[in-house]
Amino acid sequence: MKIPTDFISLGLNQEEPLVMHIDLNSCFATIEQQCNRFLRGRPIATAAYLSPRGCITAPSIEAKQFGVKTGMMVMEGKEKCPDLIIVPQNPPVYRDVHIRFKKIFMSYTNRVKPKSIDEVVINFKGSQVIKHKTMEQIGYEIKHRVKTEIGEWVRVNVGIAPNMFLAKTAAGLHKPDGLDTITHENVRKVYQSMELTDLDGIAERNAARLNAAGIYSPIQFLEAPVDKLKREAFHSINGFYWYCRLRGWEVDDYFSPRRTIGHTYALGRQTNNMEELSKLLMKLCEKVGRRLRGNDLTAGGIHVACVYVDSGYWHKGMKVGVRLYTTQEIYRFAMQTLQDNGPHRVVRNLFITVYDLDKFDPEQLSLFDGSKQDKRALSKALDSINDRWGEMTIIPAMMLGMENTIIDRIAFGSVKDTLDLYADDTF
Amino acid sequence: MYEDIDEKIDVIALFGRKHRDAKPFRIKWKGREYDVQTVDYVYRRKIGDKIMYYFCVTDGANWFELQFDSNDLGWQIHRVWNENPYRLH
Repeated sequence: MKIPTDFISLGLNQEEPLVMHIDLNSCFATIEQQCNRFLRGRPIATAAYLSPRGCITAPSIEAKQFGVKTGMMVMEGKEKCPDLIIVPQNPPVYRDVHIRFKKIFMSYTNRVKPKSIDEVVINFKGSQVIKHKTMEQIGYEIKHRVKTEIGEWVRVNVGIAPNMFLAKTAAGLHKPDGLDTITHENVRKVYQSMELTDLDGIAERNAARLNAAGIYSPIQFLEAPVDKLKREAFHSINGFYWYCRLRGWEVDDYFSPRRTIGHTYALGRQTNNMEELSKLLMKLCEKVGRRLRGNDLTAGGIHVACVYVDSGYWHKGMKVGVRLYTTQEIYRFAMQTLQDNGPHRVVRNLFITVYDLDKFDPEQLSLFDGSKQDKRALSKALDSINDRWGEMTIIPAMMLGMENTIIDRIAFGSVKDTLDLYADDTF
Repeated sequence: MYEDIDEKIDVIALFGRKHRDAKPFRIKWKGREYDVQTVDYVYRRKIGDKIMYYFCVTDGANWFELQFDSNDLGWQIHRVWNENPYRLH
């Protein structure tokens, strides 16, 4: 996109704030506390595995006060807070809450954009509801409805602003139960109370870039000319985007189509045994294949990666020259990639991603090679059996006995479609 | 900690007309009856074509997750929460 030069003197966006950001605090842990009242008010954390090296996926608000953070190992969390209660993740209930959230928001407008399992952005531009209520009234009404329609322990932060960035910033001002509005009138005051790294999207690396350009606070960031941000801080178009974003102009409301489908597994029993790894790989391929076919897509490339126990990693991606659709097709190329360059050290995490996605286009039947069509038809038939009778009813023989090896999870990242939420469940 | 149970149980429940919902009132498990005092969350899960409903309930002292199979109208205790494992009040 060519940068229009007349944007160089862009002021603060003075439009009415009609973007609302809503997020659920400590999402998984809060939902667990809603479901089990004996956990309320106590430091708890959800984890994919309860073992000492299991990863904490969400500490409760009470656990955060002890310094327990997402991504810590269970044993690290216990060191910070000896009374920490670790509970297993329960993805079906988190999905159920997400759906109820969405139902509440959709009753106001259809411009509801889930950013992840626990974050939603609602754009009220053009909505009829703002003719009768102020944005703050709607915000408080949503908070009330969340308590009555989902559960009394569930509290959400609401942020209102002219663009998505400032709405998220507003939602973070008074956790865990805040409602704040940022407009052109108070944006400077808000920035004055923040550090650079408090801004969403400014972590250590971006902060270092800004520091190198002589910018040490959000106010200095706001006052920096666009040229300085482009040429001295970010050395890219990102400088311009930040210039707009900080002033309340929308640059983040775009649709990015799905480009990859992937799945990861953290090995409970770490190994470099190729036979064991090949079984895990088959299950990952089956999960990826189900999502690929569920989206009616094929893939032209595959990427396999391993993280080793003794640090370091290996990865390789390649275009395969054919369109991948069935689990067997994915597995064949994934295995080939792994074997050619294979892990020679003990593996801690295994990743598989397919890319170069395209809509499934049934190829014309060949007189000489009907087998590919047969396999694809067979895959569809197997998928429909699993849809009808539940996941893993029919599985490749290689996966026998592995039903609970790669457990159901919810990704932290963006939600492109409902299949992301239900990728590993059977809803 | 949570303990998986998955045992069939008897339940007295009210199926409401107005909100088209269900509320378990009393459960009988291992010869003992528990009166449900709070229903803190109800969620559903589709397993294949079957729809399972899960009720997170307490009797004031114990926490139970009950599973209702809408296909065969059967109730189970799915999980319990034991503050002190191996002991139920």
